[in-house]
Amino acid sequence: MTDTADGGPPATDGGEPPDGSEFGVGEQDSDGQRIEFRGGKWASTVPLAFFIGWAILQSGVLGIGDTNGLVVGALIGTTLGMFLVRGDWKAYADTIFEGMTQRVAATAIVA
Amino acid sequence: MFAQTLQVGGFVEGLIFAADALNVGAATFPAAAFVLCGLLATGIGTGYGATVAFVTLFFPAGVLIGANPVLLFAAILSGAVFGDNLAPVSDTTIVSAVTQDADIGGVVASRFKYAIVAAVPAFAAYLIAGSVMSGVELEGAVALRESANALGLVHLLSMGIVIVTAVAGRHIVEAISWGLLVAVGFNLLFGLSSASDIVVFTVTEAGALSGLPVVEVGETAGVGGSLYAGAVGFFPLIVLTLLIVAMAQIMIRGGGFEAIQTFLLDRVATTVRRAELTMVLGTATINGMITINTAAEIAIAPYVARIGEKFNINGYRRANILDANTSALGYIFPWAGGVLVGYQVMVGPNGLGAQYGSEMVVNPIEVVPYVFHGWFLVAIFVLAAITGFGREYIPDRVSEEVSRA
Repeated sequence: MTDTADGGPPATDGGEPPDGSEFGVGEQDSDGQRIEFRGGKWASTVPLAFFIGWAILQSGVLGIGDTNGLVVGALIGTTLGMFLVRGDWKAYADTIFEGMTQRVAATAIVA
Repeated sequence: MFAQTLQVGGFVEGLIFAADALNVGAATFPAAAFVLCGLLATGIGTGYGATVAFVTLFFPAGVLIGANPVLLFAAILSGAVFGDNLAPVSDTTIVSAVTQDADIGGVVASRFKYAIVAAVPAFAAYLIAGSVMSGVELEGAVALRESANALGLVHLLSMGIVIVTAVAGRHIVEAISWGLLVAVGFNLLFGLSSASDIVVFTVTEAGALSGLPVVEVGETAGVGGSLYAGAVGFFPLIVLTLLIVAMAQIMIRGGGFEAIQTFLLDRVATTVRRAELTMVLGTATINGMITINTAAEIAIAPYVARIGEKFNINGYRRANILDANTSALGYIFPWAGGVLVGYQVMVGPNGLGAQYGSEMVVNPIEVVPYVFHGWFLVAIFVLAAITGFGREYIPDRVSEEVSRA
């Protein structure tokens, strides 16, 4: 096996997305209720990016290990993201519930 | 709850006894914990569960013997990484196989070589670091060490029941329930703990029910015991998990993930080597952000599949890249779920800190450099992507029937 500049003929459409519906995989492609953000697609990363920034500041820079503190960071991040939503904020709130009720959330908690 | 019940049942004292009898000292304890935790996690398929069990039980035993707390915690996390990565019943293993169209047996067999190449130097590193890094002085450690008692080792059987039931294919919830039942039985039967150590209602004034063994009279009213402490300790993490999956869903619905995928496909993944590097580093980055590793894996899986299929990279190879980096990163960063479950055992109500003193609490940021197996696993995949070690293309091997065990 040698390294070539191009490993092989590219698939025409990138292939079918894999099916893992049992775990909620690929659900982002179904019933695509989209949220429009001021500042485009990248603005949807604001909640998680804020949370990571908070986590780095809290645990990394200040050296505080406190799970409840991280919860506050996640809450503020989630709230900040809402202000960037264009149009109805209800879609944003619905998405929060949609995320929380995924099978994976329960799986992570139980296991 | 299971681990706490074993703890009040004298399992820690039993472990200290066993370590003394087997001549496992402070220097070798972290390396031994890495291997044993790895075996437990592989057997029961949940790295979080193995972390909780080991931090509750092996961690205090090791620190009392004189092992370095930071190194020991990191060794336990390394064992959890090993198990999450390799275990056939682990969620991360199943997700990696299903999403990359590979069968679970083939995935486990093909990733064994990477796991061992990382585990052997990690084991050596724990032996070396164990003899270099010193332990902590713990007030009353001598008295606690003398409490070593072989009877607590009956709980090896309680743990064995969980492992056997899980390996036999029963769901982990069922396996732990059986283990818990047996552990409570042993505690009461052999007098290892009283019923009130397991669950206790404290009332301020004696009443009709205060004759019961689980009702006590005390200064402040409340509920306690090992079942209570075991459950309550994880509430903050449960809330955090829900918030993180909610934030990830917002990113998916808002197109943030799509934007990242487009960027990676068009700009970064332009050759097969760069495509594999992108998969490795992309998986690592997403896991650094979404720190609940199963959730992170599910979010990134379609992109790994898309990038991989563009370059005809075999499903087994993609599944291995996906799972190894997911497992590893979930136990390294101080805000990672795997690190926090262990930390909660230390700081939770009636946790290790409250019982043994603040020396028994490790700040999550300190363990980052010492999770050797996690770091080595990521390093091996970076090297494998660059050199092509173990690379397979789609026509090289066809997956068997994809099972959703």
